[in-house]
Amino acid sequence: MYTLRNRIGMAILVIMSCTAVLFAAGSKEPSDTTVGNTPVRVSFWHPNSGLLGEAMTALVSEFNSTIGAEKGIRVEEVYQGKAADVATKLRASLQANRKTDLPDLAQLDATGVMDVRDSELMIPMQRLVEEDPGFSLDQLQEGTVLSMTYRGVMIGMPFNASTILLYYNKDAFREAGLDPEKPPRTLAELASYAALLAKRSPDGQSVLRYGFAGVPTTYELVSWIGQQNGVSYLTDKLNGHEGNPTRVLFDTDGTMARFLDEWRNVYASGGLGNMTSDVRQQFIAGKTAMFVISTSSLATVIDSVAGRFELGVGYLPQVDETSTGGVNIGGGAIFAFDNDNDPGKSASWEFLKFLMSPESQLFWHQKTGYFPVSKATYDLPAFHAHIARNPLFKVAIDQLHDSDPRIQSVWWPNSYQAYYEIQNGILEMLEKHVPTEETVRNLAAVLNRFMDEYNRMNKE
Amino acid sequence: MKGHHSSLRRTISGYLYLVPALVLAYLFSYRPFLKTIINSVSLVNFSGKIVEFVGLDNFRHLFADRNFQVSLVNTFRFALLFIPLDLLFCMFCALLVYRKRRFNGFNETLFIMPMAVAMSSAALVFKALFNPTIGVVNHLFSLSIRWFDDPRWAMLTIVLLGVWMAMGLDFLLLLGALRSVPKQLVEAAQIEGAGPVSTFLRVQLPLISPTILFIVTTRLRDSMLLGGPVMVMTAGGPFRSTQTLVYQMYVEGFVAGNYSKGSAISVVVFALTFLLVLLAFRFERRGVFYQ
Repeated sequence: MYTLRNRIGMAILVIMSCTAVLFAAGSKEPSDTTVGNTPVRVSFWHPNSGLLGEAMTALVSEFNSTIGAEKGIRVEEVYQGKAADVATKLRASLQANRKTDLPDLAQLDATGVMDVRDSELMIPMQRLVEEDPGFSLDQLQEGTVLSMTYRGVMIGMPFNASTILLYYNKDAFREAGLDPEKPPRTLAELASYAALLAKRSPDGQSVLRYGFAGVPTTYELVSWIGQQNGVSYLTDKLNGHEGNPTRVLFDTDGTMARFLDEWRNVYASGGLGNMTSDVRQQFIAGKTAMFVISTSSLATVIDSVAGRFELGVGYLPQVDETSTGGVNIGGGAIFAFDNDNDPGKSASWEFLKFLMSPESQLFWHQKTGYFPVSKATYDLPAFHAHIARNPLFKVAIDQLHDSDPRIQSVWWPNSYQAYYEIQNGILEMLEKHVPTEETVRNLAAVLNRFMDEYNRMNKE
Repeated sequence: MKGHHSSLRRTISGYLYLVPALVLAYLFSYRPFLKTIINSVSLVNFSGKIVEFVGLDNFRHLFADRNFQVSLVNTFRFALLFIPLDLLFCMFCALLVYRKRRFNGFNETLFIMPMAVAMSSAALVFKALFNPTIGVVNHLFSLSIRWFDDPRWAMLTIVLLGVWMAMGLDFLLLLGALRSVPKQLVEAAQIEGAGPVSTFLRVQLPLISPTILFIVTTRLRDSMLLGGPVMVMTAGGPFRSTQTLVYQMYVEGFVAGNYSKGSAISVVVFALTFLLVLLAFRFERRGVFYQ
C-alpha cells in the first residue's frame, strides 16, 4: 500500500520538477535569424499613445510594406506604457543580463537615459552611424546630437526631439486688452500679463481663470537656468552629460536666485495658479490663459481645443532681458541593444535610417509637434507648405533655431524625486513666504544629497 | 526490521511531498524577504549588486529623510480616515439589509458588486468621476474642488476609493455576523424595552466584535501596504500629500534604482505592520467578546 502511494508520490514529484525545468527552458525563446525567406524581426518598444501612437504605427507599417518588404525586415512595435514604464521594463532585463528579453530598439526619454547609458548591452548609436558611410551626424540638428551625447559619444538616436513652448489663449488676451500677437517675452511681462488675464468670481471667492498655471520644476528649470549667463547648467559635468554629476551649480552662480525672484513676482501679480495636474485640461477648458508644455503636445492641444478659442504659442518667456540662451532640447531618443537578434543591428539600422529620413521626420512632425531632427527636412517643399499653413509649428521651430544648442537637459539620479523636491520647494517659497536665499539653499542641499547618495552606491 | 525501514521511507516521503511547496515558497517569499533584509543593511548599486555592508546606515539616513517622514504621516493619515469610514459605511449598509425584506436581496447584490471590479480599473473610474473639470462629482454637487490638485482633498479621494473597494467584502462579513446573532437575544432585549440603538450597542455590537476585529486587522494591514491606488490616481502628488510608504518604496527602489533605501523602507513597513497587528491582537483580549 505504502509503496504504491510512495511511487505515486514520487511520480508526482518527478512530473513537478520536470515542469519546473520546462518552465525554465521555456523562458528562453530561441532567437530569430534569417533562415531562407523568413524576415529578420526587429522588436521596437515605445511609449507613444494617442495621436503619437497612431503616427508611430503609420511609420512602422509604411516601413514594413516598403523597405522592410524589400530587404526582408519586419519591425514589430510594442507599446510599453509611458516612457518611464519602458525604462522600468528595460532595467529589469538589463540588470538580470537577460539578453534575449531585450528589444532591438527602445525609445526612451531623458530619465530613461540613466538606466541604459552605462550598460554594456546598450550599443552606442554613434557606432551604428559610423558603420554606415552613407550617413553622418552632420545630417542631424546639432542640438539634438548634443542632447543625446554622453561622455562625447552620441548614445541614442534623437528621434523625438522637442522643446518647451508657451501656449496661450488669444481670445483671453483680447478680452484683457492685450495684443494677441504679442505673448510675454520675459517673466516680468508674464507677471503683468497674468495679472490682467486672471478673472475672479464676482464675490472674489474663487478664481474663474488664472493668467498662468503651473509650478516650475526640472523641465522648466533646465531652460530657465540654462539660458542665463550665456549658458548655465543645473549641475556639474554639463548636467550629467560628462559623467555622474556630483553637485548643483545653481546655488553658487546665482542663477536659481535670479529665477526665483522673478517667479515670486509672477505669483505676487495674483494671476498665477499653482497647479500641478491636468494643467493642459484646465487650459483647454479656458481655466487658465497661459501654460507651458512640450512642443510635442502641439498637435494634441490643437486637436482638443478644436476651435473653442484661438490658440497661440510663443517662445518660453526668458527670465530677464539678459537671459538670452533660449530653451533646451528635450524629448527622447531611440536606443539599440545587443540581444543576440539581428547581429550587427543592420536590420534595426535600416529602420532607424527610415525614421530619420527627411520624409518620415516631416510626417512625424506634422502628426505630433516634435520638430524634425534631420536638417534636410527643412528644405522639403512639403515642409514649407506645412509651416505656411500652420504658423504655430513655425514658432516652435524658430524658437529652437534661436536657442543655444549647448543648453542640455539634466541627467541625474533620483530625477523623479528631484522633480517633486523642486516643485515643493518653489511652492513653499510662494505660499509660505520662504526667502529666496533659504529656498536656494534647501534645494541645493536636498539635490546634492541625492547625488551623494547615488555616488556613494555607484562608484565610477 | 522491515517495519523500521518502511517508517523511515514514510518519513522521507512525507518531507518529499513538502518540497515543491517549499521550493515555491522559498523562491517567491523567503528569498525576496531575506534579500530585502540584506539589501537594507548594504549599499546596493544601480545594477542591483551589493557594494558593501553598512549596518544600520541606511535606516539612519531614512529616518532623517523628510520625504520618508511625510510618507509615514500620510500612511497613518490614510489608515485613520479609511478604517473608521469603511467600518461605519459597511455597518450602515449591513444594518440596512440584514433583515429579510423585499428588495434586500437585490440591495445586497449591489453592495457586494465592488468586489468584482479590479483595483486599477476602479481607480481609473474614480479618477474620471473626480476630475475637476469634466468629472461627475463636482458637477452633481456643484462643487469646484480641484480634487487631485489640492493637498487637502487628494488623500480623501484615495480613501473613498479604498472604502468603495473594501465595501464588498467588509459588508458581506458584517452582514453574516449580524445575521448570526441569535434572534432570541435581540428579542429578549426588545421585550425588556431596549430601543434599536441600545439593542445594537449592547447586544449586536459585542456579538459581532470578532468580525470587527478581523476587519480592522486586515484593513490595517492593507492601509500600511497601500500603493496601487496612489500609483494610478495621484502618483503621490500633489506636493507629496498622497505619498505613502509603499509608494515611496516603489519610487526609490523601482523608479530611482536606489535599492538600499527601497529595501530599508520595506523592512520598516514590515516591522510596522507586524507591530500593529500584534497590538490589534492584544486589544482583542480586552475588547472582543466571543460567544
